Amino acid sequence: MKTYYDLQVKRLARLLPCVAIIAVLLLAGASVVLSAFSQYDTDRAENTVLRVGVAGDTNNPYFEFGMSALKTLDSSRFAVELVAMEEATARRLLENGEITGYVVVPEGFTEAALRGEIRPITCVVSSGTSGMVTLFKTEIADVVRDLLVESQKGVYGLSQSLRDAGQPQADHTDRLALRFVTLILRRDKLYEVTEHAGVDGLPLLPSLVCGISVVLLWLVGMPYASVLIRRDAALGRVLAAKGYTPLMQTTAEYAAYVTVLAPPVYALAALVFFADIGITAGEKVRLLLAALPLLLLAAAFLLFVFFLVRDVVSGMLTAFFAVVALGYISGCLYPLYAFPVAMQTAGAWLPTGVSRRYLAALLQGEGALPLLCAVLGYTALFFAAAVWARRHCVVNERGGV
Amino acid sequence: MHIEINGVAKSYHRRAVLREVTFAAKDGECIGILGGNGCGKSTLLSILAGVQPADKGSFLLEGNDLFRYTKVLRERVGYVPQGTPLMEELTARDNLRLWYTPAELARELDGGVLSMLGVNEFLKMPVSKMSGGMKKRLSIGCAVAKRPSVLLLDEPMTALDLACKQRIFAYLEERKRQGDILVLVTHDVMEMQLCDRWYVLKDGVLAPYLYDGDREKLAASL
Repeated sequence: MKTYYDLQVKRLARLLPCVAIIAVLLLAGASVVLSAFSQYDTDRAENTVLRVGVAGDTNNPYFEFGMSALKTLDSSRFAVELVAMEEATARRLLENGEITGYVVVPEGFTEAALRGEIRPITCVVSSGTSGMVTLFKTEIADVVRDLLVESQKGVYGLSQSLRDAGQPQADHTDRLALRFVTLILRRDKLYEVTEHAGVDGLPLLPSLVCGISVVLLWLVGMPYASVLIRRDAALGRVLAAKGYTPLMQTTAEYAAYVTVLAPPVYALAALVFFADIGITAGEKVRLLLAALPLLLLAAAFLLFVFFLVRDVVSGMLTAFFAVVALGYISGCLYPLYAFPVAMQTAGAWLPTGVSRRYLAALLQGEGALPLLCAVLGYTALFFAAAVWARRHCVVNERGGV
Repeated sequence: MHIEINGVAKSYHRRAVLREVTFAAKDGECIGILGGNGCGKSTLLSILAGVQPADKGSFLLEGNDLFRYTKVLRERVGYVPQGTPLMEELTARDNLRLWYTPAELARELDGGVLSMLGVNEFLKMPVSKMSGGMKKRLSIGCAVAKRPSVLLLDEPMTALDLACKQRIFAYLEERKRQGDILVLVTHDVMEMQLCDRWYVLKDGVLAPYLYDGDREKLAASL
């Protein structure tokens, strides 16, 4: 069987230059998609009304009055829609992409602010909406500053009234004035910013890089369809007659396919290594190592598809649409939270979804083992399906071709 | 040497394709299997070649049931199916490498079966650039590796020009002279002239047929 494997490698290797060109074109296409997505996200953030949740201690009358004023009178109402809600609800809506972010108002915030004390408000945003932070900072600082200015006016008014009445100025009015100055100077302490994890615990860009890498990996193997698709079962029959079972034939062809698929895939991975995609060098090394089980899965899937068809064009079209559809549904090409919950669940467990999550888990350095098992499980499943398809082709009902 | 095929039957999903196939042949004999499209001729050949198992029956070669001794079956039986059992992107030599060791290949190209088939003429040519006749000669060349004594051929001369047919015909005649047994599935008149006896496969049953050159009578019997 080694000779058969060698000959398969020789057949497939003839297509290597073509595959290399297609791989580079795919990578260029993916880069365009990523940059376009990033630009779209920026444009969307700039041009739409942002829905922001407000959670925490919002029951104070002053706070409610302030919220009402912001919603109806303040110029920010054209850019931001504030909605009061529970923190758990806000978190869920943020994960589903239904709000841009939320703020958590700490207990006794309003009373403390009126006393001139600082209790930081927590702003929670997703990675894709981190531009919100600047807006939150400005808005929160403006609101608190207005409260303090009005309070200080009261202090100055009281001080002036005491002076007008010929009363000695109390020390505490001076202390209040000093506190005002201190607060204005320490406005940056008014807020804390927490970035909520995007998809699978990763910020948006690395998450998309994982997804697009999976789809690229699956697409790179497609040009080999012209060699792997059999127009008739004659060779398979002769091999079977000489004792090379469909399992042995499929194993040799699969091994050869993986052998010739590895160089372009690792060349692509090496290119990614030099690109600035928002992940560290260590994470890139983990990505490179992770490519092997994903390569095995992609090869098994494509081999199965190629064994099902008898025509190169229909085989390539079938494989292309299958890969793109699987990639899209499983969140490789678009954030998964944009889809309904049922679709998110199904998409996460599709082969491409499992592959993407496996890459994401590797980047985070945790929880990758169960997903690796799922990747290998799918690999075994598609390999078995390819053996079945080959066997069906060799031993079909008609006996002929 | 002689072969006996006894009571071979095969069904797919309760549909009987072969019910009772029995025939025998002795050395140097060529058996022609005739029949309409889809009657099970190719299925019969693929069963005899060991591609798929029979539901029942036996294939005896000198008293040994080859359905049980598959190793002997692979050594003693050569099989040329319909279509092109070749790797199109590779040369004739590469394709032959799958079936011959380097020493065997050198021997057969130098006055052996491959030179009889004229494979030397296109040894370095990719299969994708070969004519139909070249491909068929190469396919037969691959099938006769290890010199099998029984050769199963599924329409070996279909769609070939007369010169190609003549060359393959001459080769098969030579095999007969050397005492090999040939089993041909055929529709071709020239192939039928090569056969010593004919059988018609109809409704899963193989029955002897005496071909006297009357093609209308033959067509009516299929």
